[in-house]
Amino acid sequence: MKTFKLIGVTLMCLLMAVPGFSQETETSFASQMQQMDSNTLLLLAIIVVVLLVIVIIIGVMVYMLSFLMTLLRKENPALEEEPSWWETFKTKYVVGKFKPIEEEKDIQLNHSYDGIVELDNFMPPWLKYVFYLTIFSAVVYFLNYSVLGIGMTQIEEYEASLEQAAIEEEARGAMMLTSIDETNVEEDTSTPALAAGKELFTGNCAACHAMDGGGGVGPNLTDDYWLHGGDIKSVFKVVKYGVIEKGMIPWQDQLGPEEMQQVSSYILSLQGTSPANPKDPQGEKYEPAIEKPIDALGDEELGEVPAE
Amino acid sequence: MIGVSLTLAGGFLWLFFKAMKSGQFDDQHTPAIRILFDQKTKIKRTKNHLKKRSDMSGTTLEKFSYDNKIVKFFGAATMIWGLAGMLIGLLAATQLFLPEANLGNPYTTFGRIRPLHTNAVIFAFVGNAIFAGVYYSMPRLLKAPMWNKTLSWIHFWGWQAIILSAVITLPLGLTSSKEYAELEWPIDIAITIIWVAFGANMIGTLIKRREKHMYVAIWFYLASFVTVAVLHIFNSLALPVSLFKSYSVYAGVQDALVQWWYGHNAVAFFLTTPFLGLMYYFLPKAANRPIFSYKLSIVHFWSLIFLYIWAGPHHLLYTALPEWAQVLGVAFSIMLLAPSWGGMVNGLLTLRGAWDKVRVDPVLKFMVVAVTAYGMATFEGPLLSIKSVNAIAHYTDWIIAHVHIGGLGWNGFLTFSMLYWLWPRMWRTTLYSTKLANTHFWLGTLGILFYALPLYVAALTQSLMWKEFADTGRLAYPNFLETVIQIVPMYMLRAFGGLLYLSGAIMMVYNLVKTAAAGSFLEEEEDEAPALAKHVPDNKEFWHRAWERKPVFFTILATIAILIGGIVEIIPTILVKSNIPTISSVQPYTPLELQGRDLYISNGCVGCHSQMIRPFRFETERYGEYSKAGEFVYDRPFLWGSKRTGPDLHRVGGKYPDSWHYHHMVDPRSMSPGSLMPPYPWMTTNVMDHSNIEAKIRTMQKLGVPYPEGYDVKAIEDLQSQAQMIANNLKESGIEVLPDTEIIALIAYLQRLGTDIKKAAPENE
Repeated sequence: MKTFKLIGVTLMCLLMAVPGFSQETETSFASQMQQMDSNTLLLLAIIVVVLLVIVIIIGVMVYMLSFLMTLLRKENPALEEEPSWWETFKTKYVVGKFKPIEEEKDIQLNHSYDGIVELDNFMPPWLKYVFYLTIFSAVVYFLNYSVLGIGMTQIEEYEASLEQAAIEEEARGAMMLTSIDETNVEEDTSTPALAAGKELFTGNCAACHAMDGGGGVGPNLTDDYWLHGGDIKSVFKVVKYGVIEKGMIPWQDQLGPEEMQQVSSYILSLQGTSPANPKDPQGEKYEPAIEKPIDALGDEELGEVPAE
Repeated sequence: MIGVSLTLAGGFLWLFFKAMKSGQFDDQHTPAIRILFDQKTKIKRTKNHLKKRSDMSGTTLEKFSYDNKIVKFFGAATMIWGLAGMLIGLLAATQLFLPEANLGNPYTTFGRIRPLHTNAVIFAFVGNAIFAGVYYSMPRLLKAPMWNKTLSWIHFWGWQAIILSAVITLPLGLTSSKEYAELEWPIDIAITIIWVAFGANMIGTLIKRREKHMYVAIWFYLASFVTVAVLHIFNSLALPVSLFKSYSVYAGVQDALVQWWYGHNAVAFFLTTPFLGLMYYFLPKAANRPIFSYKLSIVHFWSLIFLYIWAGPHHLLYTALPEWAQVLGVAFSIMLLAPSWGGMVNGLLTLRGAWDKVRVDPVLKFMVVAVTAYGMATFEGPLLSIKSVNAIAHYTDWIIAHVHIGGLGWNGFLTFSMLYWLWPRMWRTTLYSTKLANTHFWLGTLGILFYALPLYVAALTQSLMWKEFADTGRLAYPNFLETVIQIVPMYMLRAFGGLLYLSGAIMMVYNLVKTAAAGSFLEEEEDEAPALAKHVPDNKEFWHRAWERKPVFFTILATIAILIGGIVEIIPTILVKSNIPTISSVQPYTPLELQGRDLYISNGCVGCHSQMIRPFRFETERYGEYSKAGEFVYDRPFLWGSKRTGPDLHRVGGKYPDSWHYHHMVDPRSMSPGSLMPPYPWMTTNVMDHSNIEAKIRTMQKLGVPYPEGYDVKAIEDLQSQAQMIANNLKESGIEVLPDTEIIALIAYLQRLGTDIKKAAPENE
């Protein structure tokens, strides 16, 4: 019986707590926390502490009361006969009145099917109240979302999340000044950038261009010949927007600007290495501008591979 | 209309409660045939009864016998198909972490194996178990043999033939792709006929019954029969193109709604209500205890069948389904909790006073876990229906775990307990090994845990990864594959759980075969009962008691109860235009795209790829603009899917080059390292038969798709020129492939997906 009670209580708690599952509220809660200044946080902490104290006091009082009751009962036998309010509550609203098994015959119904008999018990009260509660919630839910239109429709929810994202984006934009794009990207030959680029290349590009950049489905990236230009801006552009008609997919949805910069830099760092199975050159020979000599490549990255 | 229906629903339930409270059962005039559990009391009772009856009509006992042979056959079929279905499930589970297990041919790829698994376990394993249980319990509850033996055997062999045809057609890719209704139209018709034979047999038995009132198990059997018939017929409505191809009469959103009205209630009226009926017979029999509450039976029966039918739209939350229908689905799903638990409570409380037996009797052990699993699954169900929870759980393995708690726990374990109870009785012996049965119990229970728990972890992990945004305001895991690779270890554990469960089932079969070998089969079981007496009117008769002696009236009431929900939800969605706002730029598929789409259907791609982008920022960032109702008006059937093992494909059109698709289909892992998708290299060489395109276009025209008149004959030209274009395009990327191969049609379809709406964008702005 205790399990049922427990299940019932858990269910009620869960039904009431469901809005907490919503991911939108979670994110906005987190962002609200960030936006709060120390004063509000302090206030919040005080409220929580006060509430906790109240709960503790109530708990202690209930305990004292029940202790008093037991004392009173011991002294007054008349009181002992009377069931406690909890007992009354339990029989009335939770488990209901159970006949002991020996007295079951009294409530046995006057029929039997292939030896199966039925008892004339009532539906357990807790189940009945759970039913009432769910019907009530269902009606409220329906009115809220349909007839009254208080609850947001899914499209309204979506638009609200877009607005929130736009605000966050603006905040970020203000902090970062400009973001990297094909007009201002520069080759980043620092060791961490190339290491990150290598990892991205292995995970995303190697399928078509081979692990060592020698090419496969896609062109060879180690030679001097380029289909769409061999400077960092062109490579970045190809990575970002792809060349759909040639089979290169756009990566702008999957990689961030910085990641695209890293992987483009790594690709350029492969220039002049000798892959295991190089694909024949495609496109035009690209003469690097004088601004960046090839020698500037990080040697530690290419240590094992002798330069041409 | 909605308001009215809700009030109606509320009023209905309130009436039940009122009636239940005021109801007293004055039932003295019903023959009190209380055959109690041991022989001695049985005789005493009968005598008692005769004395009582003789002063009214002077009836004598009639002799008759029950047919155990049909029960034996259905029971054996349950075991055979059960093992087969579970084995296929294990194969499918293995394919999800080991793509090589797709075995390198089209027939055993995951997309085709998955529907085979679901059909085998639902309709073959659970279906045969239902029939075994009904053919055993119904005659005994009504004190009359099943109406017509020939019909029983037509039912048996017809059903096995249907399963066999599913086993053949599904791997061949002959499928309608609607979940749990995949079989093509000729088999659908066969199912209807056999189902009606089953129903006729039940109704005949009811007419010939010797027991005046119908026991609660019979109510559940009747409601299941009627509802499954209605669901099956309306969901399967399709216009045939050829013997093994048809197009749904519903399109897009409407098809989705009808399908999930069916799909959800296939769970309700095939996996739940018949099994509640079985529980109401076998549990009190095995425990030798009276049913806890007759009133609870009444309340939970009527509320369950009335409410269940409404809940279908909760499978389509946050989709393009009109929002009012979604909200209705959620509201009714919440209300389903208590009626479902009514069954569990009545079952568990019936065991009051028999818990000492539960410790020793494997039959009761299985039953207790079954009923508890039912309670867990029906608690989880309403929870998953709540929109905010559904936003997390939909498309993930949470749903797979949820259905397996119900399937393995409730259906599987109740079936096992029933078979363990039936076999020694029909062979007049004791169970060969109780120890083995106990081992089966623990293996099965562990199997369920190992199955479900890893999937819950997998589901939450993946769902949170899908949603997570990095500080840069972009998705933290933009590559879908990352979220899949993360949960592969969980898939392995799940398969291990399945293996445990299957080994338990094998033990059971061995145990029961040994039991049968040790005993002697009782083919015809003799019994006797007085003939059905004329009803003597009684003013004090409890209202429901009166319904119980009128099977036809009862069936009509149950039919009305199950029809209301479907009518209120489906008819407005089909008739009211504003529910599906049209988009002018959305055009019918070209002939080649249509062929590609049919290929997509026949390979079961929908089993892993959804085509429904929900309006969440984390989805639109990943896949593109959210899906609109008007985009699906030419989709027959709809292909929204219900699980994302792979990414959504609704806006995949134009996202990747043709050559990418080519390489990806030949070997998915060459383009996406670590992918779990099976390779489809044969698509580059298999030549597609386009000769049926004329018939297909004509069928589509009949269904109202606006192809110009006379287009059917011109279609093949368009098809060929589009195929040539794609082949040329691939050639430029260095790929030589014939234009009439399957891959060309598939690429055509994939490149079209979700692109129509983009054409509209400039006009709208």
